[in-house]
Amino acid sequence: MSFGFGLGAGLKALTAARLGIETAGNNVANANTPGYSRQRVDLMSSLPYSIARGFQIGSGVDVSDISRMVDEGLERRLRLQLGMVGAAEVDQSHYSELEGILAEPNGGLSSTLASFFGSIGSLQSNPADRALRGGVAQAGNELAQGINLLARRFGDLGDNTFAEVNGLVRQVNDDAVSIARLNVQIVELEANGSTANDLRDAREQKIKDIAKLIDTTAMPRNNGTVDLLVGGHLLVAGDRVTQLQTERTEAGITAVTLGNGVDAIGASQGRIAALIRQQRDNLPQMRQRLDQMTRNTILEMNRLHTTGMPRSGPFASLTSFYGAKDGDGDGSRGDELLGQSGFLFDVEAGDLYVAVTDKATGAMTRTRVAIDPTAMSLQDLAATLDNVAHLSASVDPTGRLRINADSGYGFDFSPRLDASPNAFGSLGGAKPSIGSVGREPFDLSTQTFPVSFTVTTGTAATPVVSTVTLDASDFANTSAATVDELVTAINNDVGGAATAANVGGHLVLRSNQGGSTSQLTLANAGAGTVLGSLGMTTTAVTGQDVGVDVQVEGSYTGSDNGKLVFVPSGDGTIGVTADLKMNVFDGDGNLVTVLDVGAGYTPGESITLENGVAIAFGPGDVSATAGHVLAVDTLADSDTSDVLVALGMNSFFHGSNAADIAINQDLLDNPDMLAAGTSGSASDAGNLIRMLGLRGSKLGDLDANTIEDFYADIVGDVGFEAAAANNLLQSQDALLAHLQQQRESVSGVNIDEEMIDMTRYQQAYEAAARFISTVQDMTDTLINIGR
Amino acid sequence: MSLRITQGSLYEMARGNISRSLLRYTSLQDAVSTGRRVNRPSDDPAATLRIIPLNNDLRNLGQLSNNIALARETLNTGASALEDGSSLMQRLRELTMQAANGTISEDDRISIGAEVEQLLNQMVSIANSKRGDQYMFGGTASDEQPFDLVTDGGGTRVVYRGNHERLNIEVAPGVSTPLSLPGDSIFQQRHRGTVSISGGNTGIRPAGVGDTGVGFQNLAIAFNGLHTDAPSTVTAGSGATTALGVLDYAFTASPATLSIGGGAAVPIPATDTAFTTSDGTVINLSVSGVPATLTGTFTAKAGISTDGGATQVDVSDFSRTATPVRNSYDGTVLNVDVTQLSRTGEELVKHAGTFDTFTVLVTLRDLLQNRSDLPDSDVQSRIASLLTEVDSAHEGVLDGLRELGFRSSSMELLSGRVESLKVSRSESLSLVQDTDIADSILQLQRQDITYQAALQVSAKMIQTTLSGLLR
Repeated sequence: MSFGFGLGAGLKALTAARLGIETAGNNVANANTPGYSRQRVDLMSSLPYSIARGFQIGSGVDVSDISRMVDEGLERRLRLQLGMVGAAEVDQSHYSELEGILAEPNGGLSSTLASFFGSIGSLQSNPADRALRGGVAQAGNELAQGINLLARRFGDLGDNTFAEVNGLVRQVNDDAVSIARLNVQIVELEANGSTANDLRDAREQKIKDIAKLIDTTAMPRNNGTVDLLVGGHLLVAGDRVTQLQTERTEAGITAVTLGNGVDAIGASQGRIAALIRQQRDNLPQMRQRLDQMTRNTILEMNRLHTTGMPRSGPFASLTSFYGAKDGDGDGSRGDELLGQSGFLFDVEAGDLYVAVTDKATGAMTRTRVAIDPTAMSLQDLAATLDNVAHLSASVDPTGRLRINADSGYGFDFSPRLDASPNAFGSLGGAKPSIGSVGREPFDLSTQTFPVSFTVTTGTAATPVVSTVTLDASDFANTSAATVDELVTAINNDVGGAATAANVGGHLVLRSNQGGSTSQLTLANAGAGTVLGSLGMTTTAVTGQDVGVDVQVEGSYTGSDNGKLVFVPSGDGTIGVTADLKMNVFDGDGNLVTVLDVGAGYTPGESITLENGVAIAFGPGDVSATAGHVLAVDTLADSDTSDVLVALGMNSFFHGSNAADIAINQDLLDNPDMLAAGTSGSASDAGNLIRMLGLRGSKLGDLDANTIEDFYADIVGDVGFEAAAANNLLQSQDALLAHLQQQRESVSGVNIDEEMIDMTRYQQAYEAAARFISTVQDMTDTLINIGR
Repeated sequence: MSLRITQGSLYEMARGNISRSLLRYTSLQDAVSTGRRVNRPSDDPAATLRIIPLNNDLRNLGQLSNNIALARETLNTGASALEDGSSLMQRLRELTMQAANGTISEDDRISIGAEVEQLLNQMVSIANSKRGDQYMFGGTASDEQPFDLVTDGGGTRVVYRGNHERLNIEVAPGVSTPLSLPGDSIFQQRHRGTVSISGGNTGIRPAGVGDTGVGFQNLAIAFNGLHTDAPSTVTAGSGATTALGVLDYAFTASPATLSIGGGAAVPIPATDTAFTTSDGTVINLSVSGVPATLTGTFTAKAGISTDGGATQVDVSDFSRTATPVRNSYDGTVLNVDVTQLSRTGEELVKHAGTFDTFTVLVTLRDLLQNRSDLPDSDVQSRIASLLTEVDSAHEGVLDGLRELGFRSSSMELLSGRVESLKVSRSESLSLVQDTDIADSILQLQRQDITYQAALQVSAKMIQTTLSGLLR
């Protein structure tokens, strides 16, 4: 036995105890250090040696390692959870911000929308009030600005994303560099077989920092380094780092790529991923829905407003707000087809009805313009309008349509009823007229073309004879000749003495001279029998000193564009002839009703028909033999082509989406331009009623919702998403807390424990010191014996 | 190994518990202090979806309340104008009674006429009443004066320039009411009765169909020359003619005479000579010779006018039972039966039931001023016959008044309905969005206790460590 050995064991014990105390002290010191893992001194009894007779005796204690208490599986779950919480936090704050922007349910756009319709309601109760008109324009302005603001703030949310992601990516890169550096240090330190506990803790903490921001997988390698994968790509490989970069895609969406490569990181968790997801999916969807609502509001309001009538009555001149784009780049505008002119709203195939009013007499002439966006250019439309009597129309160099009425005339596009529809005088007019008994089409195939008939006008004393010749080439199909073809052919030949016209599908030929002495006689020339085929009488008819005055009242409430065609049942005098009836047909020739206008009817008395129309026949003679006929247009929509909306002819809103919707400035400047009515009467609220109807109408393009409901749905969805995000964040937070609790349980420092450890090691130290002293005493004793 | 609890997790737990507790505390406090349970959509998304439409509904109902108030005010303004009209008509009745009394003097009649003239102007201004700057009785053409007093060759009349469109406003969900009545339905409403022609004994009769005339009309029937069926030797003379229609003629050769309508034979040739028929009517003819046939008929044409001779309808066919005669001033048409028309003269046409407020006033004024120089007896009988028309015109105004009054009172009912709807909607809204204060305060107190307890327990827990005890 040697004393030296005893001292060695004592020294080892002292060292072990000291290390134990230091470790406990270090643990206590780091009790609050994030990511710190509790360390423990691993003790091991040192190798024994043999003494006499084969006994073995221990040689003290060895410190085998100072180890970290870490559960790697737990750490992995914790990293994943941190990413989920990061994403949930971003979602929650995003939706909370959206909620803030919407400011519902008390205030926000829903109340702006309601105020807008409310202002229309107020004006509807007092349409002549200029202040209330201004109120509607103002409320429209507020609505437009409210929508703009929403669009802008949604945009801001998206715009911030790039900067935010960029900042976070820089953090990731910094952390990745740190991790690479730590990898090197750890390898160096651990080369001698020890564990670089604190460096590993620091590295783990950096990995967690990254995990919070973006999906990451850590792959520990045998040499002690850790590789980090982001979206399947190596961010950190040992000591090398491939930096993430923030880029903006063409669609303006933020993307994160590795190095200079184009690989977008398909991350699904972490703050970065959540931010990109909001910008890429949620915000565009919100904006798209807001745009959808706005676009339909603009379209529907403008459909009504462009076909309404301002307070000042028919327009003297009007210029479109939008012009045709020079699509083919030939420097001239308006020569492209309407469908390719770059309008914000599509022009459909349909009809545009333009009414020209003689301001002195109030007489209105309505012309139907067929619009085919695939065959008609804006210049063609201008030319067609220019051909309408008392209108001039042109396309200006900026591609805008300009329409002017002659002095003393005005024009409008309103669907109102023509109050005096018998301007041509085809029903009991003062000028003699002969109409076809039947409707178009006419079968003229039995005729040998060219076929002629004579038209005798003037008086019996001084007749004027002209001859009309019809050629086969006048008709597209001689077995189905249309009235319009006949009208063109006849008017080409008949000269100034008579005029042909299409009255509700009937061909009417009228002398241009009125009075009871005026005459009109038609006669087949030669062997022709064309008059018979047309169903026109060859009996002479005379005019009247005063024609039958027809007055129409009311406003058409039906839903389709159509006509009412009035044909007398026999020859007679309104209000006098017994059993004189007026047969009423629709535009297709179906009998709608029969009106009693014979004896017992007071001429001039209104007769109410269906759909809000009332008609009154003044005194005078009508004739079935002469083919008297009267047509009244009943329009529900005077622009089924939406060309007025596309051009912006006195529209209510300009723009086509949430970002650019704006009130027509003219309405703010001059509220009289607001088309409250359809007739120009001061207290006519007809158009306002249509606008109020819009409030309750379920629009197909809004998934069969009203505008307000559609918006409420947007708000509701944000609410649901926000509530879900709140809940998700709470539950993810709870899960994280639970994992952290578990981690604490494994790796955390319990000060009590450490105190106990300290006490234990202290006592061990004391005991070891005692042991050394005892060995020393023993040595002393031995030495003293020898003295 | 059992679960280790560390100080760190203790702190963390305490922090988490306290902050969660505080969060609930503040959200409750928010609900109590704003009075609303739903302050942002995520507070209760389903409730949000109900709150927005309910808010819209409430706003709508507020609008309806305003509309009702406006409608009542407008209807009452209209009614008060008509009340003035009604008392005016009462005064008119008194005046008519006075004037119909045969004992009043010419001067009295003229002064009554002056008062009626005033009443007429007042009535026109009542019919042109305004609310604000808008006429009330013109349909939707509210910025044009609806009633125009026109005086021309056809006399004085009041023309309605308004329209028959109604300004309907919504006063309850799905219920609209017209704010005003078209003026002509109040002041000019007519229940056209039979037309009578009297006074001149010309034999003309009303056709009774298709008439559009109003009130009294004077029908002038004059001789309008000979029709083409007259013998070529006979032309109209320049003297007065009263005979009309188809007349028999008989020539005798020797002595050369002509007898018309069975009257006395007059020697011919003759110039501007009066031939008297057996009916006592006279036709003035110039006869140059004897025609081939000795007997036959010819027609003395009539010229009929309702506009004082401004225009004449030439009648040559005396078999027509309905010949229209148009007044060139007001465009009205009177259909007459000329089959028995046999002499010229003046007739009075009365379109029963067509007297409106204005024609009564105008006719009465004209009669009192006797512009057409009628005999006194005629004036009196005509004034007397107007009395029933005054009453029916008054009735028209009263009808309008009743209608407006009825509408105004139905507004009151509707107002109650809208108010109660407002209350029920507010209740629903309150139910969905408002904080249940009692419940919330209870919860708040409970939360308070929980919070305090959490603080205390945490304070205790984090204070205790072994280090404080080890010495």
